[in-house]
Amino acid sequence: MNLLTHPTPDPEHWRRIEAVLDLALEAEPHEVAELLDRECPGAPQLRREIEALLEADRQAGGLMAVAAAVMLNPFADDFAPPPARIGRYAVTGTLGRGGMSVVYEGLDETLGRRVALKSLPPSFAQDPIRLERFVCEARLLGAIADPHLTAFHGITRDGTRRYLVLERVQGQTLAERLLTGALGAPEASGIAAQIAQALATMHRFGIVHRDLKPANVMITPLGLVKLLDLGLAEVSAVSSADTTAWARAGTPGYMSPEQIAGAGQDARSDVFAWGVVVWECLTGTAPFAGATAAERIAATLERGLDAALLPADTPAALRATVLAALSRDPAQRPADGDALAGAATANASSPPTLPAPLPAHDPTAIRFVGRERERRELSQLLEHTALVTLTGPGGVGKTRLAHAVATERFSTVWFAELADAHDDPAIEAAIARAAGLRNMTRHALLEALAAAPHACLVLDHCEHIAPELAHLLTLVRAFAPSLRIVLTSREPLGEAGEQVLRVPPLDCPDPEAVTAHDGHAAAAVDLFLLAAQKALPQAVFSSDDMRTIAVICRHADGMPLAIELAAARLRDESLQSIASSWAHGQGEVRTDDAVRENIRWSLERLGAREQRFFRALHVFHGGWDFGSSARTVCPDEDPFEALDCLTALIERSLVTIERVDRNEPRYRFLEPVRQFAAECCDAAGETAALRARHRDTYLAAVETLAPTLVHGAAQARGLAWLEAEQANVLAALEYDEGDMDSAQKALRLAGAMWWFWYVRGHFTRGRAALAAALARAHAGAPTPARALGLFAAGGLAVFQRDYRDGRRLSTEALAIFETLGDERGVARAASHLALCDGGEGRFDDAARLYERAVAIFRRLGDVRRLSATLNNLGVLDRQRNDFAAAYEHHAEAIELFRKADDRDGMVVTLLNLALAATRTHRDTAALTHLREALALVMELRARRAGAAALEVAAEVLCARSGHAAAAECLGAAEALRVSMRLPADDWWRRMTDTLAHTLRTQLGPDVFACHDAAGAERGFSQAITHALHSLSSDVARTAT
Amino acid sequence: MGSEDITRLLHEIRAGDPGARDALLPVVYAELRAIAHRRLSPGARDAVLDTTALVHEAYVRLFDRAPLDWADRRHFFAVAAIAMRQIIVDHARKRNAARRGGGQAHVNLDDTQVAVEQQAGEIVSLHEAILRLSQLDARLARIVELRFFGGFSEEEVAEIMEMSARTVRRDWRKARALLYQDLASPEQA
Repeated sequence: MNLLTHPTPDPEHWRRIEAVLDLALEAEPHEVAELLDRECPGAPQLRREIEALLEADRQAGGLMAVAAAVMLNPFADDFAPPPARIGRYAVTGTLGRGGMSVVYEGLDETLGRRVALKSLPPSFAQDPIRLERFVCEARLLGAIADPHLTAFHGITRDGTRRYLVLERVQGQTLAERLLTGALGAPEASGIAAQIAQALATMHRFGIVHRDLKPANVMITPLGLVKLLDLGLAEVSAVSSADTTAWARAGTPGYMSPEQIAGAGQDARSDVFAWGVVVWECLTGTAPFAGATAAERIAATLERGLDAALLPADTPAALRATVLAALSRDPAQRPADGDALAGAATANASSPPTLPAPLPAHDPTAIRFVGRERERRELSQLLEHTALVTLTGPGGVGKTRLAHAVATERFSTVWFAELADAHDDPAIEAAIARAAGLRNMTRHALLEALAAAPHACLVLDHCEHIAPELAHLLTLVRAFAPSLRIVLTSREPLGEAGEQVLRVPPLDCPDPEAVTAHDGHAAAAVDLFLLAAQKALPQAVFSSDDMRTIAVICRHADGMPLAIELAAARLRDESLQSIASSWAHGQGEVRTDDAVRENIRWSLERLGAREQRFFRALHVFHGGWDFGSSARTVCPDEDPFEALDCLTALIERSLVTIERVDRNEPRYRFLEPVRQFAAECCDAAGETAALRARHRDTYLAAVETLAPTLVHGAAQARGLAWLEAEQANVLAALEYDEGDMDSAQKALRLAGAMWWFWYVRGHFTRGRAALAAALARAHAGAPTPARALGLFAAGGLAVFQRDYRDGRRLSTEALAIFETLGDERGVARAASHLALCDGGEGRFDDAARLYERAVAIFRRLGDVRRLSATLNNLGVLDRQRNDFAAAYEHHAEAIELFRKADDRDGMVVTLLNLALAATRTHRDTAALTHLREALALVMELRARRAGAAALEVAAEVLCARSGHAAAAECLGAAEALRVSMRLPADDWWRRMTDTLAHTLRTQLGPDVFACHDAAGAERGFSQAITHALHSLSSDVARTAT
Repeated sequence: MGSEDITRLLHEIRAGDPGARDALLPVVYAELRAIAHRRLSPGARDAVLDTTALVHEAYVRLFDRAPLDWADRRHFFAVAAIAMRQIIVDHARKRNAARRGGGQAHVNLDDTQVAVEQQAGEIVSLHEAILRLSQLDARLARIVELRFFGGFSEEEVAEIMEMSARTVRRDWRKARALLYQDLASPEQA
């Protein structure tokens, strides 16, 4: 139906339609049918036309977005000639032009590497939000570095115009490949699998491509598939028509229905696009073809697919996956790249190229521990690439990996060590030796290399002879095109067609989270255990031992050789002694000199800017995130400078990527590198200024974060960030310029940290830090910072039941708050004093202090603190055994906490409520409150509350006859308290003692002890999870 | 023509004189073309240009000394959108003609040449669809012109056409639906 041509535009008819259409557009969707009944009685044609227009209204959004994007730069094809240079790259040609950007080919004259330089739209420079988002995605891409994605080398600029520096991929796009028709099923399967893998990597890190199509898929001559254009720069400025600024227009024909409708895009939109691409590969035509964009959009929304069009020899698994991926309903599709990769490659028509994992007892298994993924990737890469370079810091295991995979895959392997080769003839000689050949001319050697049918040449330690090697490699590859070459190096060589595989250090677990049962969660620990078995075949390790092992792995920076050597020492030493010798820096594997030489060599090849950045990074402890590094090292420059420097350091294996948390990579130095950087920085005289800036950066960050920690959804996130940054914060606290100003700053930082220490249960650490800061800032007038510091220290002391210190500190805090006229502070300090009184049995004094605080909080309208104080009043009631009053106070408190969305407050109050409920026969309520509390404890990782929660759980479980589970909860709680040095108050301890007694009677002392110990073995998360599980099922009902 | 003459013409438009707009159009058209040309010349840095920026720059260049009051400004922008549309469609037509001349194979790194060539075709199709729309309902076509070629938001369109934002929104949906039906139908007249 088309009113514009039917047969000619008819204004009269349109007026009639418009009258009703206006009404229909303003009505709610469910009212429309009725409205049409009313307005078009007996006029079915009119009604049909209006319904068609309403349908068009629903669908038009997608089309208009595309049209608007087109309008935004209608002169796209007029252009200025390319500049001669961009940054340090010489521009050697133009590769293509897009709606808003242009791509040039460039040559990095330092490295001799060809790159692609993609311009960013100038509008980016003006929009800080878009800029930030872009920088965020750029560093993600630098961190991910998958061979199926184009490598990202950094950002450069030419005047004000910025360019992304990307890998220059040789080959043709899938679009070009499809010009000659459909691909055969085997080729299509292979491409489908590789695209799926690229998507899997992206989705694992939370990035959605948003514009997958054949033009964005590159195929190298050997069949390696790479995704281009990862949505980095094409976040288009579709502001005018219908969509919001962030929506990417996408390409009609590949856009999913929900993308067209303007609804959110997620991994499943990429899955849909994958389906379209693979369909096109298999059949030769796009499933939603059309001459215009509008037609393609209409086809996507309306046209059904005929599965019979897929070729008969399409593997069944692939066929099913493609059809599922093309479901209009996102929920019916495979969820993301991983799901695609798994489903599509099952029963692939080509023989499987992945080696099977080795059984655990196989003596060669140790080579691959923690390296399964790299082993698979390298193996697959060698299928489609002639030249692979393994990069990573020295000692990370590149040599071993290269050797292992090569011998697995190839019948002939030549292994040449190039560390001592310094010129062309030496390289040649090394290769000849490896091949078992002597006294040969170069020509004869090349012929010999070409003659072997299924061979691999492994060249080890190539970094320092890259230029000489380049020439020889060209010859080799010309003579022996089917020879596979694997290089190991600390940085990429920059050869054409070189595929880089980064080998990171092994994953190390968090020592506080590891237990005897989940050692296999982390590769480093796995390796240690395997190596330990060789040294001490009968060894068995307890949870404590596992924690020590985790610490050793951390000290070893996840470096395999170091870990194995440490494990080997078990023949003669205990775990403890190994760990402590590591702590004192006696665990180095290589001599310091070798490591330093390597670092120095890599550094010399960098510019002054990158070297300065490198030196400055030593100031971080336990790693850093990008924002902190940019703000500390180059606060006055724009983030691109910092990103560029960081990318250069990562590429040279000087900086390691630790992990990616919620789209934010964390970076770190290996310890020897950090020490080297520290020395360089000292030599340059920059250390003092940097440490001051480091301290200022963290002070600002923590002070900004502190208010968000107490309530709202951001609580968990903020707490997680602080947990990761603890080492940095402690370093910042220690920094002392010897003057009052820096003492005040340290005090402020410690004060801002106190809530985190409190919730996460780091009482001892927090008290020590606060005491040190208070001592430093001792002289001088009483300041708000001092009051807060005293208050914080007092609070932590009180919670550890150190009432003497708690009282002293809180009294001093109260006095300063009164001097400063800070009513809120007075009320807070009073509350802490009340806790002391309550803890020591002086209930009336406590009650009076609480009432004073409550009055102030009510007057100030401070809902959150009011609720906290009411909660404490409830605790007081409980201590007087008045459970009914306790329930009332806690109930009032929980309502207020909920309103303020203060999750930690909610946890504590819910637990108190649950307890009061059990004592007042409100059993169902008790269960509900307890379950909610446990869930929140998990979310916040609140260990402090966790111990109490487990004890209340034990109480409730006992009441429901779940005695075994109750005993386990008690055991876990006790272990937690010991690790936090967090004893309970008298009343509470009496409660748990009575409970333990009851359980011992019910279960018998031996069974009780057994469950108690089992509970103690569990780490925090497992204990909470187990408690929740025990409470949810009615397993608790049956006697054990 | 100096800015006083232009201002006078705008007053006349305001007074409802139909001929005044026709007299003003070539002036604005020339100004916009000159700006676009300069921005895209071989020596220029920025090869990317959006229509809103062009229109605003034209306004500044013409009325820098004597800024218009809001009523006249409205009319200026309305005329500018018309002129903009002419420029863009002319440009697209030229490109279309050039394309039919010879095929070129480029090594593409992203959605480049294909999109660009299609773009010119899309612009012409859209233009023709809007022509047909204006025969059905001139007001709706005007709104589309302002939104696409002038790059104005719904509120700005409401101001220029002296309508309520709500009516503009509804009109925009109607126009969009009609255009969608036209562009999505397989037969092209």
